[in-house]
Amino acid sequence: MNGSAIVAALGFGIVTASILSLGAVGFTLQYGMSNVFNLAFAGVMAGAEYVALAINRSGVNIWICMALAALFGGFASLVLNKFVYMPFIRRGVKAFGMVIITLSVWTVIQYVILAIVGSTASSFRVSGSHLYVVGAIRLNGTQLIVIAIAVVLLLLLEAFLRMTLWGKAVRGAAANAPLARTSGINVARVMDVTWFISGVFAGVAGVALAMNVVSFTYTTAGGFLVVLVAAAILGGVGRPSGAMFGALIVGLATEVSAAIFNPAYKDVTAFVLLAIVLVAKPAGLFPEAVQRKEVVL
Amino acid sequence: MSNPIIYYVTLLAVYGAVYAMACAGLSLEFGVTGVINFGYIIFQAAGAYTAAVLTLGPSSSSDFQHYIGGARWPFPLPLIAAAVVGAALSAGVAVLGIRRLRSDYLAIVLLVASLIATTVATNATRLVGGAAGLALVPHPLVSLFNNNAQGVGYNVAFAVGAAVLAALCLLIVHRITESPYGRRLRALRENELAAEAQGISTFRMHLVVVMVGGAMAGLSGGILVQYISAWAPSGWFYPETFVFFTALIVGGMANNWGALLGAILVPLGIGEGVRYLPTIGSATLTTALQWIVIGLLPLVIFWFRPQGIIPERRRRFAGAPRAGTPVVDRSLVNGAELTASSRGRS
Amino acid sequence: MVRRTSVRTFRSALSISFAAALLCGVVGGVAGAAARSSAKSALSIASVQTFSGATSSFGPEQNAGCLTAEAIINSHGGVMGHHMRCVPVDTRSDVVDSVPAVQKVISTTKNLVGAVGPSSTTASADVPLLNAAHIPMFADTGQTEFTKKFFKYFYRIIAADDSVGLAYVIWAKEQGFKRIGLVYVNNSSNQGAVPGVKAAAKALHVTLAVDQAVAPDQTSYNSEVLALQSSRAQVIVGTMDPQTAATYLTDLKNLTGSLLPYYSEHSAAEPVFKGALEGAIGTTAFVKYYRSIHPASVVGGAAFSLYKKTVLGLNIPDPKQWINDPYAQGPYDAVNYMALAMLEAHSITPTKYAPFIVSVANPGNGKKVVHTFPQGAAAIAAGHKIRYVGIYQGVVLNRFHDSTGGFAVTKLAPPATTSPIGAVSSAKVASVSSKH
Repeated sequence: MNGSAIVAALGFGIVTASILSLGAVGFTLQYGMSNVFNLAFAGVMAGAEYVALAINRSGVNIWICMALAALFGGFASLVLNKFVYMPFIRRGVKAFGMVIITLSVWTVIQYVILAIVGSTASSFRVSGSHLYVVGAIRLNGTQLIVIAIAVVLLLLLEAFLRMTLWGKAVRGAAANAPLARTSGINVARVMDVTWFISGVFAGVAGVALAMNVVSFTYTTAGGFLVVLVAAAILGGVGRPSGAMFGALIVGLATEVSAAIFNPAYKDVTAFVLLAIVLVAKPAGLFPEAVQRKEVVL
Repeated sequence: MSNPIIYYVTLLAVYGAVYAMACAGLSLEFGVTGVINFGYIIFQAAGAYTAAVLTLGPSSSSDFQHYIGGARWPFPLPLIAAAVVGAALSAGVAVLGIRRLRSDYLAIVLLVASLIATTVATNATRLVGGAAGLALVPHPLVSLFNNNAQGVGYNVAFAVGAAVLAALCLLIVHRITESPYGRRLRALRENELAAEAQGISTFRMHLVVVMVGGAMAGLSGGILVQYISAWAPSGWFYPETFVFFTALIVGGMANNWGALLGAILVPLGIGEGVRYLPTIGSATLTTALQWIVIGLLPLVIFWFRPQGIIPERRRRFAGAPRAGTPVVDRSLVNGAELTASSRGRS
Repeated sequence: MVRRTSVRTFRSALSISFAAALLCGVVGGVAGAAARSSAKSALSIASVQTFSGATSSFGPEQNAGCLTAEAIINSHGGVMGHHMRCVPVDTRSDVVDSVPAVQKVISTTKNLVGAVGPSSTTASADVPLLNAAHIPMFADTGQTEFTKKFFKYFYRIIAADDSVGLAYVIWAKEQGFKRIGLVYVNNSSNQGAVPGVKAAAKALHVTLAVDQAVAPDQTSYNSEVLALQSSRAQVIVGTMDPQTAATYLTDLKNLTGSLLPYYSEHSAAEPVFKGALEGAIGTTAFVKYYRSIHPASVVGGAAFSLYKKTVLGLNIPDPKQWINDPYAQGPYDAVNYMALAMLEAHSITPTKYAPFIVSVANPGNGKKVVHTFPQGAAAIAAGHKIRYVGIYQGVVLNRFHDSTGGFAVTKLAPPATTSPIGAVSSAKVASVSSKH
């Protein structure tokens, strides 16, 4: 296998990593905060995809659809937590029980979508985009915009977490909710903000994924979930910047392995990498910021 | 009852027994000891594969299916081998993973191991038969029933045999749970650091538990494959693990009745029960509605019984203070939290 | 405290009774079905297919064909006064789930007289089960298992996987291609044709430029596409699921600026596949580059016109998509074979009518050739022996009840039907097959 194929694969890997990082960051931010291992994240992604599709069908530009789908994702995620998960947590369901709850909710969302749209694949209307070639790297306009969106959103999130009072509150509540509460932070409100941001990222990731795979069905987002969670874990749970880094490694590893080895083992490469890293460095690449045992009420 | 009805009832009994065995093993691993084994289905698949190839006979190059390790062992050796393989694989996982990883990371590593196993099994067509898997696995002891695997006698005997093995597994888990050893396991689940401080060897205990659990998974797989006489990687894909966890949580953790009830209620009762829903609209719509019900029922049960239908019996020493209200009761699922534990130190 | 306990007791009672009710529902359903009488009641055909899971698009496709035959038979008085009824059975794409589902339909369906399906993902478990219950089935699997192992009640009019692989390469060579790219998704529905492609490439001296098993549901296949490009393949053959094919071909188009001809088994008009690819590469490119190589079927004559008219009258979503779909037409023919065999046998009992299926399907001296159920019913009533030649062409069941008919090569005729391009005859397939 020649070198240029590997360089080209690195370019593709960055596209995959961008989509992956949007999802992984959204997932890990919320998990680090609430300790709810939200498998229905894929359900929010899928919901956002079909909201974007409905708007796109009426002739609206796909990037505007993505923004609206992101808003939908944010509110869906917020509603899911406030009206589905929280009532269960209040009834005494613990962290592990919540995994089963989120799994059930995901199943329901997925098949509600099937009942509404059927098993037929759908595609967005995207205006044709130019292919940019730099050396061996070949990316089209849509892919470049997806990379740009990922970079901008991730920078915005970092800035929010580091520079604003709300961001500080989020980090404080994630690190130690009872302490944050006694320091006068409205933990419930901060939780809402976190679930909302997580949903926004789910929405953007869902639409970007659907654009990249071109034709998508009710199962597309779900098939992406395990890789997304793997990337989040690789970077250390609860660390958005770590998740970003984990996504980059997974994205590059899958594409380069497809260029060098048997492409059927694309995912396997990423998973083996994850297993090796975790066994060698049991706390993930970055030791986590949060240490807590239970779901936050 | 007509014969087909008897087959169906015995089929449900065999499936119920297989699920109960698997849930018993998982209940010991997860319910009693707090190991989150998200790769549990691999051990059932491995046991199933072992039992299949050890009854199929050597693979010949002219055959339509290819596999390694073919032999024609007499009953009950293939089933014993299935249990041994399940236990041995689990021991490997314990040695590699449990000692080093914190519980939620171990869960993820096992989950991806499950995906890796499926992908490799599907792609390496010469290894385990590829995606099509194995077919025409012989039924055990069928020669005693005039080689009539569809006969009433054989099916009833198979169901009784499977039920006896399931009962045996549940009994083993019960004996372990109720013994002083079980108390140490629960101590491990509740607070690993404190248990270690009490001089409990956490690694050796984890090792024993996952080996027993793995053996039960392997045995259940062996029985299932000898009953349905086919094996394919898609039958043991990673979501099946979550079905068993759902069964345990819905039924109730760390007690045999909970595991048994969950096994009967979730994969069997809900999974197969929805097939009795009336047909509504197109076939696709009916299927979608069945799955929506499969998703909703655990939520409904959970809403009314957050600790499972049969919660773990609260164990108290005489004179100890009463446990708090159910909402803050930490004794139930607490040890199985997803994050934290002492293992995170690198 | 006391109140709380009583509430909890109530709840536990509630949930346990709920569980009990669920179980009773299951058992009651079984018993109820068994108790019903069987006087001139409807005859059931189980449509065993994947309605959910990896290949969920197969379900509606097969069911449409079954429903069409059901409608025609019922509007012509049924089979000896019995109406026909298609019962969908979801195998959920896996062997562990399909066994209880199939056993349930066998056990609880009164007058279950036949089956269409199952498909590759579950056939190895389901076929022995149906066979043991003496239910004739027209399977939707190409697995070579069934050309080597005889099942008395197994029938297959779609091509075996190995001959599909041969047909791809034969057609590619006839189009002048010398370098073939084999690209397929690594699962049981798609893996089957691979040995045939390899064997045919060797026999016909065509270069297998690349042999790519791809993982399904990836975000992109850019690296795979570059490998395909650098192998200088001129044509892509092999089956991929609709989403994977769509993503793969889009990446090919985006990266190399052009597409390559692509052959697979999917019907060009099958809605999920067509929808995915039209959405991805556009209708014009799909018509230009995609060739479906599938069991040969007619596009005119009595058999086709009755089928078409009836499909369009069905109360199912978008019925016109099934007009030219070979995997809806196959089950349609299958139900007709079974219904006509019943008439010839004067029996609806599977063990009695099954031997007549081969007689109805195969040519023979003095047989009257019929193309539809009403024609056949009339001929049998007039005392003739018949041969049914339906939409599938060249069906001749061998001693394994297997038929290797010829293949048709078709492309999409927008919006929703197909038009023929050419054919790969069964003689050609057989001659290449004998070379290896």
